[in-house]
Amino acid sequence: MSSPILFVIVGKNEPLFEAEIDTHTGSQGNELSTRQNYFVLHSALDLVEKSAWTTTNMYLRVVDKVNHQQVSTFLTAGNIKFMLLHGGKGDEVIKSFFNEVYGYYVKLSMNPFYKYDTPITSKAFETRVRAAARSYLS
Amino acid sequence: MNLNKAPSNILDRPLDRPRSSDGVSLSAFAYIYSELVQYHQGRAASISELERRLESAGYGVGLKILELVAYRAKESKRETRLMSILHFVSSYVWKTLFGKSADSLERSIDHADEYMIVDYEPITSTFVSVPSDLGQLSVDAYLSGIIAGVLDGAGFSARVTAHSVKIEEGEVPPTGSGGFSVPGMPPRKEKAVFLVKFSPEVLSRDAALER
Amino acid sequence: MSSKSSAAQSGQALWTKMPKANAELFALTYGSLVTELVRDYEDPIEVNAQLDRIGHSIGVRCVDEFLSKADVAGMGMTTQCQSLRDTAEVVAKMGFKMFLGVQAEVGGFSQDQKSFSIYLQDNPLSTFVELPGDEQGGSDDLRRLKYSNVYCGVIRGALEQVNLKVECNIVRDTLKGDDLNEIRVELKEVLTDGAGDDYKEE
Repeated sequence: MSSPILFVIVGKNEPLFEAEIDTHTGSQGNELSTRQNYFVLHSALDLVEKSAWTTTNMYLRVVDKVNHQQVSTFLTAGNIKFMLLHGGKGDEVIKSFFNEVYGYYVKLSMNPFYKYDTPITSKAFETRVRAAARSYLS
Repeated sequence: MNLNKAPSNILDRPLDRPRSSDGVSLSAFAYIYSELVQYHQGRAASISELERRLESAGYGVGLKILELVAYRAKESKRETRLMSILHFVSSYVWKTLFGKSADSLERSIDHADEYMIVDYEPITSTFVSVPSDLGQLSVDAYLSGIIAGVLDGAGFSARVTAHSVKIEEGEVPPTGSGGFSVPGMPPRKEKAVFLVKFSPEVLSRDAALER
Repeated sequence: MSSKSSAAQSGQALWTKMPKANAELFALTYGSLVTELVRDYEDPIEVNAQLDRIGHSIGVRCVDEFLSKADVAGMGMTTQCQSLRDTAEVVAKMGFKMFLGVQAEVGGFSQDQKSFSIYLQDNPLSTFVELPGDEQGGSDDLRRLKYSNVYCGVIRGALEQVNLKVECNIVRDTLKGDDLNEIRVELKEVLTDGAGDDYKEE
């Protein structure tokens, strides 16, 4: 799979975490596609917000299909949105990826020093998210 | 020295529900909680300010508890309806925090936007008695903050306040003896009622989903 | 010395009888207190001092509970502490166990038998804590925070009630990357108020 994957965590008002992942190496993708990708994710947010109240599922399947790319979203109990822009990965692998990231997110949020809905700066979190992406999404 | 080493990074520690032998003594919680109350009391100019501070402290805890409890339920489901979030709070959240469900969940007769969660033996006032100069203060303000944090995080913003209500002669908690009696302590004269007043947007959204 | 294993046994018996509270609520409540102190005082050294003060207040109060329950358990150990070693065992194996459900270890006695360490592998105060400042350039200030400093105050306050004046310091901290938590306790003075000299220095 050559297209890089963009994973973003969005809070109530702003992105809390971003990682562009080249699943071959797990490293940063290139900048050219970045801005377009962020635009796609951003416009998907409205659709996410609308569907959020129509289902009790945390995993919202492909919400927007633009330019051969798809957006899958996972909504935590606290309405924090995990959004994945990808070139068409299977539901099961995406769910597994989201569930693993959710585990890391919950542990991070249990830290008294982490305040809900604020940017995530932990390097340990980023490392594990990238590792999970490599395991499930390559 | 035979010591088992826990994973060094918090992100690698297990989140699953601990075995029943885990926990701390109620006394340890009561001492820490009592110091939290005294600390805020020292910085509050009034009883209502103290209550707000305790609620605010609880609010942050509530946001964390929401994700923890939902994650552990392992159903990958979120609550989208008002009755289900209340049920989530009065049973799952209560069970996690206190080892038992709340004693009852009631809807106000007079106000469509108000609900009550009742507990006959809330942990925060078990050992903390209110000094006479604090009047109406209910130290259960911390718990109201927790409830508010859970509700708000889940998208059901509400004003939550704690009230001590006299236990009527002959009144028996619905669950029987209550899971939480402490040996050697005299029976409680008052129960804690957490009054939840949902905001108008929440009510209209929930009504719209009804159709 | 038979008192060592019986301390652990009494500790377990005491723990079993204590009503329990949820460990996460406990850790999050303490966390709320620490972060509030950090917001209000900013300087981690000052926060450490506040935690010690708070611990002292708790220590003075919890001793009564401990002594009444430990006597009831029939051990009578605490009135027979013949040495600092016995006291150390009681604090670690009975005190920590009864209140926190964790088994602390004792060791590192100095030549003059006036100081020792308490080792704690599992720390119920800091279950999901990670000190901020690893990544940002700015506030590695908080690396100077002794998150669990309340323990030092508790030990100090509790031992004061049995006429032992001690100084306590956290010398190893799992939050700082150490393998375990170590609290160093140093006896400064035996106070005699005439109420009883059940403490004899060896």
